[in-house]
Amino acid sequence: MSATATAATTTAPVRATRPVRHTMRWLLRQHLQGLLWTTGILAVVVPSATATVNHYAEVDISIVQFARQAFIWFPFSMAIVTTTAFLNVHVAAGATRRVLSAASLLTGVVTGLAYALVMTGALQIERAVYGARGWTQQLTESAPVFEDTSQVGWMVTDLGLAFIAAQVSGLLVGLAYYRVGGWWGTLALPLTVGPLLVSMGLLTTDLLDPMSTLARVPIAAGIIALAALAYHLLLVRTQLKQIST
Amino acid sequence: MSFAVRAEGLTVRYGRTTALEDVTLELAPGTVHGLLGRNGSGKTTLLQTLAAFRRPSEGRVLVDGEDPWENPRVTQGVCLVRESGDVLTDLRMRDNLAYYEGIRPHFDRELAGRLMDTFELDPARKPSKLSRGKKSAFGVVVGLASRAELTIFDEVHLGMDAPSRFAFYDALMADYVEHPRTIVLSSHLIDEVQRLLEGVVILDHGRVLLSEEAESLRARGVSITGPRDAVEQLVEGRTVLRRQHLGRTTQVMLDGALSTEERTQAERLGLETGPVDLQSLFVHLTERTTEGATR
Amino acid sequence: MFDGREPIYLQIADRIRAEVLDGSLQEGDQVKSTTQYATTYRINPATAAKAFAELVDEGVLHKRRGIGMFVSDGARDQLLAARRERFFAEVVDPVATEAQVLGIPIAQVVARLHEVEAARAAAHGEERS
Repeated sequence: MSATATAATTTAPVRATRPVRHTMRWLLRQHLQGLLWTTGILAVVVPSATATVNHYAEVDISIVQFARQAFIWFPFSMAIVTTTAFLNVHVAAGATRRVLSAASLLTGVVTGLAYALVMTGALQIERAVYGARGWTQQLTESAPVFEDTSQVGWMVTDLGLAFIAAQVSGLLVGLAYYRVGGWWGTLALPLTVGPLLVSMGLLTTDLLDPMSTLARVPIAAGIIALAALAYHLLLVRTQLKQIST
Repeated sequence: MSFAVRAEGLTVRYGRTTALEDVTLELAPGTVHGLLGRNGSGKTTLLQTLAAFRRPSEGRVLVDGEDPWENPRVTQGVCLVRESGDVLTDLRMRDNLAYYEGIRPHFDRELAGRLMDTFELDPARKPSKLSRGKKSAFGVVVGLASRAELTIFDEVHLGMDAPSRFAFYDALMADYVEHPRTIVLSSHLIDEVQRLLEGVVILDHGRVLLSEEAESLRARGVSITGPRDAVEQLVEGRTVLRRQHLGRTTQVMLDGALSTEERTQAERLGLETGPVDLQSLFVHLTERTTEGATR
Repeated sequence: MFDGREPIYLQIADRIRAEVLDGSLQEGDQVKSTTQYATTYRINPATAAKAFAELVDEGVLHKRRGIGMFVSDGARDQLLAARRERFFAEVVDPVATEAQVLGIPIAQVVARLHEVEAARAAAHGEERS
């Protein structure tokens, strides 16, 4: 072995790796494509829908507000897929589950906020257009966290929490299916989608009227944080499956 | 630059099935080890535990002296390539390599490029579009270019055709002599890989059947041929792996080399002695335990 | 190459001995390195190293630090002496045994050896002329 041992000195220098940042960049790249698509669709659908309504009746309702559901469920479904798609490769590439957990949760926050900003921006543009035309930008969905589109801060908070909840729930759903398969994964849906449904409910219902906005926002945030913690604890204990291709 | 491996009382269960039972094992750093065993012997489970894909049910594994589970220093130096290929199937191979490169500290992009050429892989294609053999070849590229301190190939070459397999062996040896590291090859194709190996571990029914130097293993078995009575006289009391009769001639395969006395006795009795190749030794050693288990 | 069932390091050692004997490796020549063996014949370098160690013990090879393995002075004579010693035990004795089994008189075997030598001498002579 002596002849080969001397060659060890030619080994390339060790590069420092930043696995969380690296993984986040890849996850964000996937979500960015989705964001561009949904924004593109929004930019086409909303003006034409507004024009159509204007043609037949008087515009007295915000069209953009209906994007809320799309902005929740589409990124939610993408979040389901990413954990499962990345987990095997990620561990096989030599990174820890902790890194994937941090990267996917941070990606969820960034993605959720990005969708919230896009929708807030769209609502503001709509507000300006409606204002210029003298239309009423009425919000039909009971959304007591922001009652008026002038409340930009509350709007970002409300939409941000809803979209981040969608991300975290999506990660949980995906991980549950990865760990326990189709049957149990489906049976676990009340638990995995639960955080999203509960925070959506908290943010958009007036059934809990006595509870002030100030109380509901931190409660929703707390539920999301608990779901994120559950996801983290499950992920760092997950054993890899053989994925047959 | 090379990781040593140690398993202590390692037991892994899947539900009620025990895949590995009380395995204690040591793999020296910087050497090429062969992990042999029949299907279901626990090879894959052992390798997945080393690479922190799984956790032990009991006992422990130590890679470079530490538990690899969620241990970033160790896992970035352990690369397990499975035949299924752990890749992002819908991203181009170029992107897959970039993903690995971002996490593997010793990743050699230039080597990856050369190997992609050797195996005629187009970096712009997606792994999902590849044949089984090409997928395996891509696994080989990832595994070699990662230059991990512990590099494990779990049956990767099964789907590859003979020329690709030999290209793999060549590339493996060429890179290993330049960048010595701990390498584990698990394989059924013992004849093909045995010359690459320095150490051999044989697993059988989740236990270690033997762990030896490859060269001493090649000298371990002895075949003796001659008239039945003379053969039986010589092998009395010895472990016979296999006994064949052809007319009045008998051939037996013994586990363990002949002593000088036995050799002289064999000559005196006019018996022919010869070595047993690793493949036959493996077949008969594992066959014997199967019979023992079913009896 | 090296496909026999004997341990590979023995096969490598035998091959180097044979090359020293037939003169394709001269005394003072450098032999292939373990790395070259590994890459040329797909052999684990440790196996080649083991063959070298055996030949160093025998005095056929010697190591020059940082350069490689070389054929020692007197290696050929030493190998010839060892071969000659084994020649009768390993080659001639089995011939006698086999001849007896086949019922061939030893005198006939000896006559054959003379014939072979004469034919070789004649062929050699023709080549020269």
